[in-house]
Amino acid sequence: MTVNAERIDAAGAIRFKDDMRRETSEAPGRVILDLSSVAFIDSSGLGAIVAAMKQLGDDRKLDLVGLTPMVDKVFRLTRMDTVFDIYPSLEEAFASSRG
Amino acid sequence: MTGTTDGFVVSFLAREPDANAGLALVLHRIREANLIADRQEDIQIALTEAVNNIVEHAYVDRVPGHVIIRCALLPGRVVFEIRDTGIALPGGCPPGGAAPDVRVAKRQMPEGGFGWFLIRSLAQSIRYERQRDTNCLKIGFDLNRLTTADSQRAAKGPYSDQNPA
Repeated sequence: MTVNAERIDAAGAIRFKDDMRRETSEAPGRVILDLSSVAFIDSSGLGAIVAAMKQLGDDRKLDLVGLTPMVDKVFRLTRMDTVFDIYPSLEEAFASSRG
Repeated sequence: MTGTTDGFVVSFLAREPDANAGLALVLHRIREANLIADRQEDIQIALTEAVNNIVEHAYVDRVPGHVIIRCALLPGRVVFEIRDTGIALPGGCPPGGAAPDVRVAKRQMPEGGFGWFLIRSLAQSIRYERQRDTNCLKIGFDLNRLTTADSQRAAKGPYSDQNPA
């Protein structure tokens, strides 16, 4: 799944959560979220991604791809980089599932 | 005034989309000031959280008032004074800077509480005062934490030979 937005922020967090719930309702065991278009995220956006991960329940996981510099900074500062599996590109994310 | 101070003022209503547009204007002015890129990012993240807090909490059950952001570009640092006429911060001071614990089970993972932690992580000084009916939050950023790509350009910039006290 790809986020087609420049920012995930307070104004868009609720919509993002709703979209994620709808789009992942039939998803298999692993959801890969491509964030390479997202230049900026705030704490509300971060919370929305965490909420999306929790919605998937214990049997499915959410991996992240393509963190841009500011998004990466927010994930590192909050230690959320230790919670998610994060890959530089979709290719590498797919490769890790085969490996 | 010493003559070394430069800066600007931006004002907007404490509601969306006004707040987002106001912040975008502040960040545009910051980019014009040619601060090093890494610090611009820090300023964007921290100011966004500070303004979010005002929009979401200061005017609960009230008509949104104006937020005034006054930026002072000083030798070696930049200070933002953010004023609003909403309700005071609970306890009269900003919440502590502890990070929400993420080493917990998935279903207990925190979805909030990161805002003030981010501000405290990225800014070098934070001062809050309640002045009559106004909240006054000052957030300062040092500009001397140079990173590799920026250091050469910054060395020729206006802050190179300044030594903040």
